[in-house]
Amino acid sequence: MPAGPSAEEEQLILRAREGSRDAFRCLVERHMKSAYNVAYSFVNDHHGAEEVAQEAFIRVYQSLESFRGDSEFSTWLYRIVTNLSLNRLKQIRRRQEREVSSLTEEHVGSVEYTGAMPGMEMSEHIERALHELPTMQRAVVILRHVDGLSTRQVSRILRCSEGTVKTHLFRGLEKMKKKLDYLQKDR
Amino acid sequence: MITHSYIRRRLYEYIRGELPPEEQDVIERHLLTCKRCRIAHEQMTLTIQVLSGDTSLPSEERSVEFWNTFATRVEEQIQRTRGAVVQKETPISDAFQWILGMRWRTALSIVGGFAAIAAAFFLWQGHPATPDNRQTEVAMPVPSALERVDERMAQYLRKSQTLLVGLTNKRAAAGRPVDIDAEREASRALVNEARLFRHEPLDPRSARLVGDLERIFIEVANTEPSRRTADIDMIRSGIRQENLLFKVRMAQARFEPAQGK
Repeated sequence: MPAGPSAEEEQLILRAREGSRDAFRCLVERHMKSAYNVAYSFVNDHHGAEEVAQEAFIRVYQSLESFRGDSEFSTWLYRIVTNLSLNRLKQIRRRQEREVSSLTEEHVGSVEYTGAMPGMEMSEHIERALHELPTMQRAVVILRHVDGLSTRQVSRILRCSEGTVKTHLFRGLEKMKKKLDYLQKDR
Repeated sequence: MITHSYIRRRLYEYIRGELPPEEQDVIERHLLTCKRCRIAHEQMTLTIQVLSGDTSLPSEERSVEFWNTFATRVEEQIQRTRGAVVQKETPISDAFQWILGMRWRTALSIVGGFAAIAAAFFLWQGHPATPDNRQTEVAMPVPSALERVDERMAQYLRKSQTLLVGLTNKRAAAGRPVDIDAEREASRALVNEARLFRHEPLDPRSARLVGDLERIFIEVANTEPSRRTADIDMIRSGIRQENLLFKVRMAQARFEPAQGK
């Protein structure tokens, strides 16, 4: 059974709907960091994550009336963040396709990261491996493992079944393991 | 029956102790007897250890100042968006001014046209119904808004059932990828239909079912041609796991009688 927003949050939403700027500000401050993290998990750069998170709160403000309270406020917000991020990625991909058409396949193939690079911190290795995962696997690993959301929450945010979330998580971690194999051997 | 893939898809939750005790036990027993899953378990434990030790949140990389001013920047953008909306409204007022500034003959002919339409409407409304007409009115009552929603829901469920059955039974021809172009098209149409139900007064169970179906149909619609066989297997397992066909049949029983079927 999906849980709705907490009583306190429900009050904030009601007041924000009635036009209270303080209440809306409070909602933004409560959720801004997690919205930013979700956005970052998709777009993989700080500037993009900032733009997506801000745009998401503007959308929230504009459509607070339509929030029915069937799910938690954060789930609704993350779904908006996810949609905006995926749209942004599509736009970037289209632009890259246009630019890449002039490059040879050799150049494109050389982008893949294959192993350790001298001078890199452990966290950099992990971040790099994480961001080489396919979009959905990366999003599931970050939402589920880094942000600590439940399988059900992630399935509602990404609009897929819980089974799909579990599969993406398993495959994502499996790929990460392969990419980080050399780190585990060093330990 | 418990399969290896069933175990592996739950390994993450098992390692983190998030499963109910009986499921933890099932996996524990399976790991004692299955070497392949045991290796997968060990590898995932190591990966989680590596990830847990060194993963920092992206938000932690931004300064305190950045977060202190974030809400203010959102508010400023909202103000700017509002300003843009007001700007957009200007062409409408321009149009009114254009109508008001029209030549009097043009304005008179437009007003006359509207008056003729209004007169025809009132004459039609005031026309006494013949006995046959009256009978028709009694025999065919106008459905209420709720009945119309029920009818649409029943149609939506029938189409969803057909699509789910089709997807469940879809098999690839030898050596060729699964062709689901028609299913993708149908899924897109059903996603659009599902969105229309969001504003309808559905009971929570039906609203949840519409949401679950929508998620599955979005997955079908977004299936990439290069990964169809793998993706369709995943979608099928989603349909099975969520018991969607059964839920659709149960919902049909709720909505079909409303149509007198």
